[in-house]
Amino acid sequence: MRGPGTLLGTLLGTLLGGTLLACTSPADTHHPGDTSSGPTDTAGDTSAPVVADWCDPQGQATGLPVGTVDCTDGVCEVPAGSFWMGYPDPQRPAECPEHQVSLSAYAIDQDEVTVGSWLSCAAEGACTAVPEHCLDLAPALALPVRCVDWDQAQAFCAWRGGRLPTEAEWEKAARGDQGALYPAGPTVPLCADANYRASVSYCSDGVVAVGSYKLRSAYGLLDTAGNVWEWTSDWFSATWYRDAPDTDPTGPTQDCVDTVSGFGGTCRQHTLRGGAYNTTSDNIRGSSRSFAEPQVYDVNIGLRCAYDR
Amino acid sequence: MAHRSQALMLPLTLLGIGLLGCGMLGCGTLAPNDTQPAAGDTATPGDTGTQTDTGAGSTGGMDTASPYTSAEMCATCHQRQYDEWRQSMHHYASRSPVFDAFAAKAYRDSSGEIGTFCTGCHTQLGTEMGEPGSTTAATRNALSLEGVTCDFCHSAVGHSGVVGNTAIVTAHDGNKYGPYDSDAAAFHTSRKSDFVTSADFCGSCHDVFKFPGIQIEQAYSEYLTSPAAAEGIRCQDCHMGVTPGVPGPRPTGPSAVVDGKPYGDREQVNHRFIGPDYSMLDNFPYEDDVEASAAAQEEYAQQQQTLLDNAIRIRSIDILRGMEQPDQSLHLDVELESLTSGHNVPTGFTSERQLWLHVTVRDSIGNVIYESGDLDSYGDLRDIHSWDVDAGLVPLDKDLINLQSKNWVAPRDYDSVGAIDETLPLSETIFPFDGNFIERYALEPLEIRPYSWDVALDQPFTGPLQVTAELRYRNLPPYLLRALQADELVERLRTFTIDTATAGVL
Repeated sequence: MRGPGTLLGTLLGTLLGGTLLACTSPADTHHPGDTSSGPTDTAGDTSAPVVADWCDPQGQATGLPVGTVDCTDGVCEVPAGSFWMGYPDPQRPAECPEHQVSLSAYAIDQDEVTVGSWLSCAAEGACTAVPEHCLDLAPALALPVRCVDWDQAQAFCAWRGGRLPTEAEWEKAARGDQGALYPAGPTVPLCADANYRASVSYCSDGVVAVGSYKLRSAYGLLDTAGNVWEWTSDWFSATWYRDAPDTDPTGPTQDCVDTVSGFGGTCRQHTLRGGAYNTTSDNIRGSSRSFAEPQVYDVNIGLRCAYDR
Repeated sequence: MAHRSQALMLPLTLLGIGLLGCGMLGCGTLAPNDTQPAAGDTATPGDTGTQTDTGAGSTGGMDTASPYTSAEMCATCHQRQYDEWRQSMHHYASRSPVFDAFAAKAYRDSSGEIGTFCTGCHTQLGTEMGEPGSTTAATRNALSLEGVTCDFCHSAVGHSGVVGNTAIVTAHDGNKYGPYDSDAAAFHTSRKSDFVTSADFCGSCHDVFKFPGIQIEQAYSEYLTSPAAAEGIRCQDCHMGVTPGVPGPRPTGPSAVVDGKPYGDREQVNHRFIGPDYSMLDNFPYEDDVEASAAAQEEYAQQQQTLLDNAIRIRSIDILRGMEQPDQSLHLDVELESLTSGHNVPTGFTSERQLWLHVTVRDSIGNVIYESGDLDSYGDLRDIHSWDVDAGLVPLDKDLINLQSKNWVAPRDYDSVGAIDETLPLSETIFPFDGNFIERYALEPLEIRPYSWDVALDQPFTGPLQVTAELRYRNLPPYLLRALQADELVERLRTFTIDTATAGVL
């Protein structure tokens, strides 16, 4: 696929570290990327407590993959019970605080929804087409469907007799009861076990067929770490965990905050979970939260469905 | 061989970038929503005030205080500079829907980890006010919507660490920094700054590296080793001069007009910062006047054409019949020549700039018997991104000469030292942040590059034949806009024809 030319793999950025260049300016100088005054609590409230007040780095979960695997015909049962949600890292305030949440019993797809399943739904008229270039037609029917917007995802799950999982449901199924960061625990998966971007390089050349790896979550789910982002039903608010109910939370409905230090107001983005083939190991952590507006589709956004029990 | 005669110029054309200004600007205070200064505003040096009105959009938890002055206030005394800047891509930087879409994806795919990496250059004021990196033009406040604005550049005093990634340090000490010292102005003092007038200043945003690990813009790095740099020609000389892409003398005139009275007799620099990008909004630069905006965009486009004409040309073209099947095969030769001494052509953000040859061969009655560099039904070149090629509707353009840089993804066996195992399966990614190495096809400064290829045709042809090569440019490919869900912008793409050359054979 490659033509002639000069190959230039520049790794300067990696060598320079993970944040914007440090500002060493004197007190009366400013740096555009210097927002080090710290996140604010709520919209307009610049006297909010520092992150540590509600992001105690002393987590209580063990971080081990605790759960029961009960999967049949591609659907995994998750019994009623509590689990630890979030991650106590002040550097990731949207995941704070780590908090205990109790969920009713539910079930969830073991795999990400495939192209084949999507075509079946579309053939019955229950799903609208995704852009053709995202379909990965036969013989790649086992690839995860991509370029699905939130409404399309909802429609698919309804066709399948379910719904999109809430953020809490997704997280419990992916992490287990004790807040495992990755399916097997605190250790970043090897490329042999998950499809993501391992530092500079990639584990694979784009998406892979669902269920390609043996690595499974505490509740038996596959590909929760990487491959494609997965829609959840919740609206995204970066400060939601501070106020969320501890039983069957379904996400905020108003006063969403884009980022911890950001805009507040109308909820306009839904939460994405799980990272994708082109995201780093940070983003495939079970606690990692991203977001997109409902109409967004992308080559690395897919879904899996949940079911009431 | 048909050689074209064109005077060889040695311009420094920073394709893909605009550069930061050097003029002197007025100072005062203004709420972001205001468009006119308050009567009798007699702000004194050091009185920079505080912004209190956040203007358009929600501000949430953003710290709306800013030590900066709106460009609208600068216009009070510096109308000429303001009018030029208003048309510039620096002004457009925080309004661009393409930028917003790019940044949103980068933000999404990093779960927000990318922070203000992108907006730190596209809206320094917004970033300093605490605007999150996920903010789009729809919710920026008025100061943030000024993009790379007057007071930011003229408050710059240096950079921190390595040049690049908006590592600019600013001072708010009542001085405005530029090419001159002056204590004459009532509103601010002026201080000569070697930094603001240097290429380093431009490089502060026109080298982009780090996230997550490759140099996705390297105009400044290219410049550092260029003939232009060796001659002491700076970015500002070519992008803020009279003729875009060519350094030369500038006219002199007043640097400010206060209460109708001109001040100063100074070199006047062009604050349009002519580069190869252009607005894709109907109402830029005049938010409430589409007609005036269209006229301004056309004027800007004419200067872009000049810039491009001074950047690259077709040096020669030739066509021969094939040796073995002279009535069914051709041999084509084209030489491209960079006229740019300061950086590669094209430069700028990887994956974006398309600079390609559209080659057509016609037979004796004018029928096209061969074509390369033509577009598919979506407006894309017939390369691996063409949906029509993918669908088998048109053949792959295997002869395509396209100087666009390409971002590639190499799987994990990639040698992080930089060597690529050529046998590895590689795939191209259109998003610069996704690439883990870049293949660059751009011409290096002043490079002359020959292209030579054979064409086998399905049917015999009748001579004489004529080959026409057009050198074309556009700042974005349609497939990239579609991938960003900005399909509606495809029709806004403007393709420039930089050069045309012909040759014939009997």
